[in-house]
Amino acid sequence: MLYRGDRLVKGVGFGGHRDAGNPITTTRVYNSQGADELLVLRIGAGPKPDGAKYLQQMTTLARECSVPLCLGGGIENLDDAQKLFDCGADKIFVSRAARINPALITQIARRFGNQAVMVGLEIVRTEGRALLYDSHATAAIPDIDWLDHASRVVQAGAGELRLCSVGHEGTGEGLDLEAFGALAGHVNVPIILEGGCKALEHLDIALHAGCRNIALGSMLVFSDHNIIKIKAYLKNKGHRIRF
Amino acid sequence: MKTCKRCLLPETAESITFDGEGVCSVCRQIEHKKKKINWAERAEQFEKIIESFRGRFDYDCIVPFSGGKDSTYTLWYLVKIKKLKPLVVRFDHGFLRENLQENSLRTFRTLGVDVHNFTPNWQVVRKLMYESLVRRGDFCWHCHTGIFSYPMWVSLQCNVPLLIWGEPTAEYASFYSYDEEEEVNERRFNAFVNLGINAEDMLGMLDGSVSDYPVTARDLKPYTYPSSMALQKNGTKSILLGYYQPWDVKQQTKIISEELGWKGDEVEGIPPEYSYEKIECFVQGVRDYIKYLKRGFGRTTHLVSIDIRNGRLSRETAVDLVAKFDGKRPASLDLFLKILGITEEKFQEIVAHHAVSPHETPSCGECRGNCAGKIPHDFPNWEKMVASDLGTRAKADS
Amino acid sequence: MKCALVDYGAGNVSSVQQACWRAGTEAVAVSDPEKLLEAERIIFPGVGGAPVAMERIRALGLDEAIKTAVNRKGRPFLGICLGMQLLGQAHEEHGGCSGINLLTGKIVSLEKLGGGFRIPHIGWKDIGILENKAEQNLLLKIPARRRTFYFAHSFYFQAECGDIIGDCEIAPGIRIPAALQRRNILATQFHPEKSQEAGRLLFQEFLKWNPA
Repeated sequence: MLYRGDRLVKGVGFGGHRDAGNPITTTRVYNSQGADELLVLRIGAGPKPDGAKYLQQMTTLARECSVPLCLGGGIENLDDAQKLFDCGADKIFVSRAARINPALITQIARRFGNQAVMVGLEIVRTEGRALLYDSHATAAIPDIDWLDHASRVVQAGAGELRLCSVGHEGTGEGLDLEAFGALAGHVNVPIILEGGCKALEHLDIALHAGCRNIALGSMLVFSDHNIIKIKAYLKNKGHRIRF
Repeated sequence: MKTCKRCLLPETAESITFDGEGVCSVCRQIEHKKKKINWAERAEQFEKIIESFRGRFDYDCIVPFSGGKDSTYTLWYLVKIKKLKPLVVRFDHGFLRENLQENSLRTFRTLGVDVHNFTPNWQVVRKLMYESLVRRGDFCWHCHTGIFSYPMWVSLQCNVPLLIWGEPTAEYASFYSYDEEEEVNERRFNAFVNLGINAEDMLGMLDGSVSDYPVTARDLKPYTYPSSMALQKNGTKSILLGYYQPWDVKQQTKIISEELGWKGDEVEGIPPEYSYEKIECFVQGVRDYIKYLKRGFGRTTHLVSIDIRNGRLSRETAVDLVAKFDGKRPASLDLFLKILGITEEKFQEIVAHHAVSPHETPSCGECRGNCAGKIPHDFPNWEKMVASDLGTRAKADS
Repeated sequence: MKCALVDYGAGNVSSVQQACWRAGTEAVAVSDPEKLLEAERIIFPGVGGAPVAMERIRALGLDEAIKTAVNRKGRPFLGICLGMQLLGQAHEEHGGCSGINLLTGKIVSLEKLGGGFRIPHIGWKDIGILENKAEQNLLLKIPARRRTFYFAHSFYFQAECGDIIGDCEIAPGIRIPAALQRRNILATQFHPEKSQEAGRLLFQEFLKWNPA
């Protein structure tokens, strides 16, 4: 769930965002439908995460959630993270900070545990090569090897990695299983895969490819697919799913 | 496409799963209903509940009422058999048919009940129909949410904490099963009733489409579920009669026909022998047609599957009926398109986006070549109702 | 006070409070040992590093209060995740520390189990029921098809076999304790407050539990 202003939004390739609902009532829906986990990321330029309205909304949102909740977007220091845990987050999410200040990951992991730190890896493909993407600069970062970076953040204390393929996001073209495969072979922490999932088959294929955690966005916002239907489909396909 | 080995529901039906024998979860639920439930015990539980509310408030309970067979039976049972004093709450979705209105009048006057009718703003309804069609491929959002939210507000405002609804969804879907109590509460509302969209979400999603009526939060109050805190404080208990007694549509329809002169009606897209089903709404045909376009099965599949599960129909006959009746383009589609001011191509494009795999929506041309032969007897009434919005009529004429 | 939540600044108290509310009870966050002894039953949540948590607990005198409440007053007690681990004898995280010592066993890193799985152990797992000497295995009150709970941890409890009432598979062929029960203590490695319906049912059972 992408949070901007005081609404949820959803877009394509990290742009063209449309209204995707009220954060609190949408959380209520996903919780009732049996989501396994929720991730609410704050995007867009604006005041830092300590904006009072944002924190208030997140606190109300956390109360609606009886599954694990990860909050993030714009976290720059331990205090920012602490405020989100105080709202009721079970985990926090950092992406940019992980590149600029990896020591922050260690700080947060020490205080709250590795399992409470999810680090984001956003990648784009340029001439077939996968590169990290800077959503602020809206540009690829050519001089970092993304897999090395992944290893470093895990060393620093990240408990989970969220891999989001920017080119796939919102396109409905299917998940980036090549990137997933590369990352899964490189680190030993749980990986969450996101970006491009539109059809039910995409999930089936991803689970067969060894993916254990899939994050859905557009599929739930702009279509009639809901978590109940998706899980029933996966169960019918023989996957072990909490349903 | 995988289909249940017993009934005819395919894998595209929303909540069902298949077991090792290829039998669907709904068939198994009905087995459970027949063999594993202590109905006498549940009847006692029901007795305890109603006695704890009887006589304490202006009304013993609220009965949300559509006029279909289920709510009519529920009302009859609670008044005639349980001798309760209910407040009947009726949410007018905008498509009520004449025969239904006559049935309802007979029911209310014969039984003797107070009735609270609510008709929401039609311009708001049109906008909601369009947005939910686009987002979910289902235009009935206002109806689903209004029917389940509005009576909760009445319950709070009139201080009548007990609400008694009718049939359990476990009869035909697997959002809930017969071995767990299905309460008509916020969780159920958010799990599937509201299509994953609350009024607070819809408010930010609506734009200038269909009508330039300026919708605000106030306009969406009838579709907003009251806070769980407020309901808990009020001592709200919202239950299904079908959890406490075995639901039997044939038996119940017989009772209300005899006791209240309840009459069935001709409904688009289903065999005439199912005249007791879905008589409430004149765009029911479009609703079922959309289901067919998205999921590859229609209302007939749903109804014959219920009959198969209850030993009333053989699979062979069921298959024949489905071939004959499912998926025909209904006459009411033309009226529906007029209400929203869209072309059939646009409609098809919107719906195709929501196709549930492995089904693929047929083309517009294929659909136009598969029209229902009959136009229902009260079609002129439907036309009149659509034309009563002068804005729509002007658009249609230009 | 019906139910107290031990608040030592390293637990997700508000989540557990919400979960209790959903299960029909108002639970109160308590950091005063005297107040803790007044509660009819106690829940001990826990998230984060063990040594820091134990330091805080000892500084507030809560370890003694917990022992008194459990052993002398026989109060029903639920420890969750770190709150389960700290009931053990010793914890090896970050240089190590000793625990409250109400249950037998040490808490060691999951790395000790070899490989074939990712660490931290995060996700939803089905719970297998074990034969146990304790009467009324509380997990049995939850319908089998709902017995799936959320885990998020890097250490596990090498508990006494007789105390283990449920376990889960961390990798093919490798199972770890998921829940312990001894007399009036119930302890879960998983997070019932983050396990939706399954969790709500477990809280409901705990909140009316009257161990002999």
